[in-house]
Amino acid sequence: MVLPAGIVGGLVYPVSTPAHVVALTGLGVIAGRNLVPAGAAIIGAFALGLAAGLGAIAWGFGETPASDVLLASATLCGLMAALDITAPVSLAVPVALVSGIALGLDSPPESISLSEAVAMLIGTACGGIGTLAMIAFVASTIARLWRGILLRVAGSWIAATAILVLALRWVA
Amino acid sequence: MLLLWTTGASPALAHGGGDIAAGFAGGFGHPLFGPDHVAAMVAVGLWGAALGSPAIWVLPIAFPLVMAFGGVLGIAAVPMPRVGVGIALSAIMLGLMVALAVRAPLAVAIAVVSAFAIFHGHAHGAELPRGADAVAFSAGFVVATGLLHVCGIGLGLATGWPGGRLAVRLVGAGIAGAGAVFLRAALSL
Repeated sequence: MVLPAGIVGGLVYPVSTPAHVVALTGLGVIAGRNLVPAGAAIIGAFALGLAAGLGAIAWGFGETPASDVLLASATLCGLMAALDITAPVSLAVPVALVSGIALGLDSPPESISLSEAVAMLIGTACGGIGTLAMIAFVASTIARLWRGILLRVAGSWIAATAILVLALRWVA
Repeated sequence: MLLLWTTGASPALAHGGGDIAAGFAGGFGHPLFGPDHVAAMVAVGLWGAALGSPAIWVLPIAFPLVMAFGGVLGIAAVPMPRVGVGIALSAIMLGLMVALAVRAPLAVAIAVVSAFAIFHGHAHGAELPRGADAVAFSAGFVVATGLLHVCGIGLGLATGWPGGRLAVRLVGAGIAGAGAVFLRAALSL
C-alpha cells in the first residue's frame, strides 16, 4: 500500500514513523494523567513547538538529531508514567515544546512540488496535534481504571523501547 | 495505538520510511521463539499473580525497565559470562518460586526478577538489528515480553478457583523443570 502524498500523507506521517509514535504516546500518557489544566498546556506547548519545527523545515533547516530528542523525551515521559510521578507543569510544558520542535524537524517532506510539500507540512501539523490529543484523551480515560496501572505499564514499555534504541544509536 | 501503527504502516511513504510492520513483527516474534524466554516471562507473571497486589503489577513494570538496562549492556558489548545459563536459571528460580508458593517481600521479588531481567535484556540487546526499523523491532519485543507477563498473570489468577492454587504450582514446577533442560543445554554450549 502506498500512502498518498500531500495533506493526507502528512496527516498519517506521525503515526507511521516509529520514533514519532513512541514519543507521542509517552507525551500523551503524561498529558492524559492530568488532563485539566496541565494536559491542555502540554498539548498547546506541543502544538507551538510543532509549528516552529515545521516552519524551520520549510525554511530549509538541515539535518538534526531530532529523532534522538524524541526518543529522549519518550524515555523521560515513560519513566515518569511507570514510576507514577506526576509531571510538574514547569517540566512537562518545556518537554512538550521541545518534542513538538523535534517532531517538526524530523518530518521533512520528500516532495519536489512546493504546494504538495506545504500541504504535507500542514497535514503533519494536524496529524501530530490530533494524535497527541487523542492519546491524551484515551489516557485520561484509562487513568481512572485500576488506579492507573495500565498507564504505568505503558510507560514502562515506552521507556524500555526508547532506551534500547537510544543505546543502539549512541553506544553501538 | 500500536496495533493501528502496525496494521496501518506502509513500506512506501511520501516522507520516506522503512518496513515498519516487518520490524515490529520481527521484534514481537523474537522473545516468542525462545522457549527459555517464554518460560521465564510467564513465570514472572505467575509469581506476581501468586504474590497478589502490588507485586502483580509492579513486577511487570519493573522487568522491562531493568531489561532495557541489560539491553544497553548487550548493545555496548559489555561482557557478561554465561548469559544463557543466567536465562535458564531464571526459569528454574522463578518456576520454583511459583511451585513452592514463596511469599517473598515485594522488594525481594523485585530484586530477584530484576537480576534475571538483566540477563534477558543482555541477550536481546546483543541481537538487536542496527537497521532503520530498530524502534519498531524494540517496541515489538518489549510488547511481546509484556504480553507474556500478562499471560502469566492470567494463568496465575486461577489461584482464585477451587484447585487453581495447585494447578498454578504445578505450572511453576513445569517451568522449573523446563529451566533445568535449558540449563543443561546452556552448559553444554
